[in-house]
Amino acid sequence: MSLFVHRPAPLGSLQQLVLLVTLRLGEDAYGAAIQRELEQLTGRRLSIATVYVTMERLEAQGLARSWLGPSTPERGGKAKRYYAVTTRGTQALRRARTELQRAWAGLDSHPAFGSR
Amino acid sequence: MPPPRLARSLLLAFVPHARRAEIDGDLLEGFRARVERDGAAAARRWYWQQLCTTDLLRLRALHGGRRVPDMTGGNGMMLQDLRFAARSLARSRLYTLAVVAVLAIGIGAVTAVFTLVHSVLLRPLPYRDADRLVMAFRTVPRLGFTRSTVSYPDYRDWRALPVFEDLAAYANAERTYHGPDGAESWRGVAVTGNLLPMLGAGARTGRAIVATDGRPDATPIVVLSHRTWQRSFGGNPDAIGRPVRLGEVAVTVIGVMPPAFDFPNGDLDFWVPLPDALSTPRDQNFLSVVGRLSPGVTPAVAQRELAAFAGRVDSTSADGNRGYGVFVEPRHAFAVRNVRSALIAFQLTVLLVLALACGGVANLMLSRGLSRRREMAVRTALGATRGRLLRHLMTESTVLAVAGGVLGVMLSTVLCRLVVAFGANQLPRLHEIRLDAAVLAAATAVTLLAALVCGLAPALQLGRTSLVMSMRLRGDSAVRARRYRLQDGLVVVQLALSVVLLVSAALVGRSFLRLTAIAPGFDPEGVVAGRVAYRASPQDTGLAGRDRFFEELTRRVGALPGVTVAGLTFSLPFSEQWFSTQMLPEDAPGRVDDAPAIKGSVVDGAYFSAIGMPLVRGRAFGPDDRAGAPRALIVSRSLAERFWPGQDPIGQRVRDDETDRLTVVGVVGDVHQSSLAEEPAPMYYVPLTQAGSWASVLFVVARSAADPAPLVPLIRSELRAINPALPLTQVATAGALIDRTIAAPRFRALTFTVLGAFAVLLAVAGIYGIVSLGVAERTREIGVRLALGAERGRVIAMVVGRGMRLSLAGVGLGVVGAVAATRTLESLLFGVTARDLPTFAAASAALLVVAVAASYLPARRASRVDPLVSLREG
Repeated sequence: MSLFVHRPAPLGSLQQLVLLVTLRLGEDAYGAAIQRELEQLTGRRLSIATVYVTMERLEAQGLARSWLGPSTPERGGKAKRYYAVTTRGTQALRRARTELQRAWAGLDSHPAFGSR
Repeated sequence: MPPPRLARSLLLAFVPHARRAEIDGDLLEGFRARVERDGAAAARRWYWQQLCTTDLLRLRALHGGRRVPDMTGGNGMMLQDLRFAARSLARSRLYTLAVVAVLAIGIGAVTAVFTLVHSVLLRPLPYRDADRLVMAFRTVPRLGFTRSTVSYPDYRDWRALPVFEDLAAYANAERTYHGPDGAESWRGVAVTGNLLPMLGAGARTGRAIVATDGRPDATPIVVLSHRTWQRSFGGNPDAIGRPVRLGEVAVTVIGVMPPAFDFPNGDLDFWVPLPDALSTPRDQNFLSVVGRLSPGVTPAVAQRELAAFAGRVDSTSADGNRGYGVFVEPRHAFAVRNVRSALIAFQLTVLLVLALACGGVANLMLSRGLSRRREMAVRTALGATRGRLLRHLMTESTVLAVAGGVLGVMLSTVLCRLVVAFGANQLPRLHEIRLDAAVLAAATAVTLLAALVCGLAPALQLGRTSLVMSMRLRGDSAVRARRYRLQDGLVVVQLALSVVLLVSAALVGRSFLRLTAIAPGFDPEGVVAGRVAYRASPQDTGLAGRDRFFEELTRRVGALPGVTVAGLTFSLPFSEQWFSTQMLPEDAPGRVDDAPAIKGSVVDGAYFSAIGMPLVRGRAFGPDDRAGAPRALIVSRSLAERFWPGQDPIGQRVRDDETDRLTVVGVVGDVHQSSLAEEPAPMYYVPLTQAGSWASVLFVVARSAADPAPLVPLIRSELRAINPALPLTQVATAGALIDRTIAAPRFRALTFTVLGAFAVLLAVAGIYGIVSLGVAERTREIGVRLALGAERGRVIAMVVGRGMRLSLAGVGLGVVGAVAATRTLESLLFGVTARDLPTFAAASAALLVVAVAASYLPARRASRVDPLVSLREG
């Protein structure tokens, strides 16, 4: 018996980034593409293992899903694992954005960020 | 290009099976994209970086957890052991780091050196039936020649002897290649048609030289080395069948040899056929002879047969083959003759280092074992079986050993590359060096052995631990004494081994310093030299033409900006090129033919000031020493002393055959002609203007007030202006020439110093560790002593005394070991003996001082023990 209402854990920033990149890539979201897109967007050089670990945790939380695509000759005949964001995943992203936006609200005039 | 193979297999070994294919594909895709974008090196780095993340382990855990849900089975037990080991190792990070680093360095060094030794000394040469390949030389005891070349008639006769299955010959050949970028000098060999087939060497592209290529009516052909094909033809297959101009003739390129083919040595540009029937006489010796012995014939038997044959020729033939002998040497021994002793010394040294590393690790583990007695006792009390604890300990040491081994293999590839980079001129068969399966197997064996040795010691101690004693009696001296004995022994052995290594390093290092302190006999500062092989041209023929050509060249080079003087010589120091002539003082008895040979050179008047050799007496050559004038001679100081001890050499005369006389006009200083380590040989010098047409390949030597390197292109263009067909070769500054001769000793000194430093570090760490442990164990006792009024100084003396006794024992043992071991170094030493007392004394003293310092630190800690605290906690 839980004393708390079940709520999914808030998304980490890496998880958010990976989910957003997956959405951006649409039908073409697979390991290497996510890794590449993340580096181009944010400059973060993630190892492929990090991408997969993040993805699998998201999958385990029901925020993403994956399936094996057909094998392609240009990558040594190896299949691609495609990822997509689930409805719960988009909800979690939206929630994360709302949280962030609320937290940011009014801070634009803060001396640390305000434009001079 | 494929991704790095080792990285890929390591990655795939980590990645869970369920994700292997897609991750492999992702990485391949990413790798290819990066090769396109950032180049191969960056892509390879990126690929390796993919390994460097703990997420690999997390990914594995995510899948592993699902696949092996039951942790109690056999598999689970192992996994549990592994996890437990990982946890307990992670808790003591410093200890783990130390053990892994020590093992990695030990294994890395051993694998690297073993790779070297294996590639250079042990692996058969890459030719067919290489074990039966021999070199056959002429020896001339009278002149001190042990491996001399052979004449064509001799080769032809030897070939008919039944001791050889086949006999082939080759001669060095230098040709000027006239390519699109001007003339360049190519080095190659002319080979008999049967040579390449005998070695079992085929071409990589096109065809190799075969027996029919030597026929008089055959079209002239050339086979290129892979390197030259790449450099001059861009690796274009169309080069095959193309005519190129080599020297005076156009020859057709018929093939390219594989990159690894290096007979008779590396750095060759081409192979051409040696004409079949040469008419050169029996006293013209220019062939190197290599053959395959008939089955069952040993080199000694072949040598006897050849010598008997030579004796017959001696007595019957009239064409000048008097007094030579024969030497038959296995090709492999010939190829490694200069490095064998150095490599063996290296191998022994590195085995010592491995022993040290294993000892160090064992000591670390023993100390850790001691400090965990309580933990073990508690676990036993809670029901852990002894087998379980043993397994746990073994798992721990296996994890450490595997980590150390993997790092060690990586380190050894790096070390091998360094050796190849630095040792490029010192080692034969260098391109054959690579980590191969045998070496990897050896490294793995060493790793497992290290794990066993290190894991066993604490496990054995554990077995002897009485449960109650371990939990209660921490300071009982009887138990302690027994337990320390093993560790004390280890530290003593470690110290002894490091004395051996330190003494070796000091001896090799001192040899190197001695070598660099030797004055070469000339002033290399600001000197650059290059070789020119003069060939008569239609407007410039004969001896006068040669003299005009070289005079014009030195005049132009001497006028270059910054050049103070330019001269000419046949024999540049360290160039391995000189004449040998038998000569005697005019009034000395005996025949010139029986006199010892003297090394000689041909020079012009400006050479001595250009190279910076002091003119001790008399004069340099001048315009009066022209052809037809009385023959002039300049001798080196040591030759003057040998010929006319205590007399003025100027005006003395020598004879170099039975009719002619040469008059000494000057004396110059001695010069190290072949290496700094050898005493300067007596030399004579004759003027270019009085030398025959054979003196047409000369070094032009320019001395500059500033850095001479920028002069090289200017000298080239002056040469081109006089005769565009002649290349300038073997260009080097005099400083570089000296550097080249000391490169091998420097490399050895560096390696030994690194190994010696590593040994000392290990030994010091060992003694610090064991003394610290002793202090920690005796904290209570020390507290009692201090409480009862012991002085702090006495406590320090007590602790340091223990370290001191161990150090003395270790150093004493080490000195004995070093006396025995340094004998293997003798051939590498110069200017110091293998039992140089000051070196031994200094090394022992240094180690003692460091060892005492290492035990002083824990001693000071012991003297600051607060009696109250130690009694309460104890």
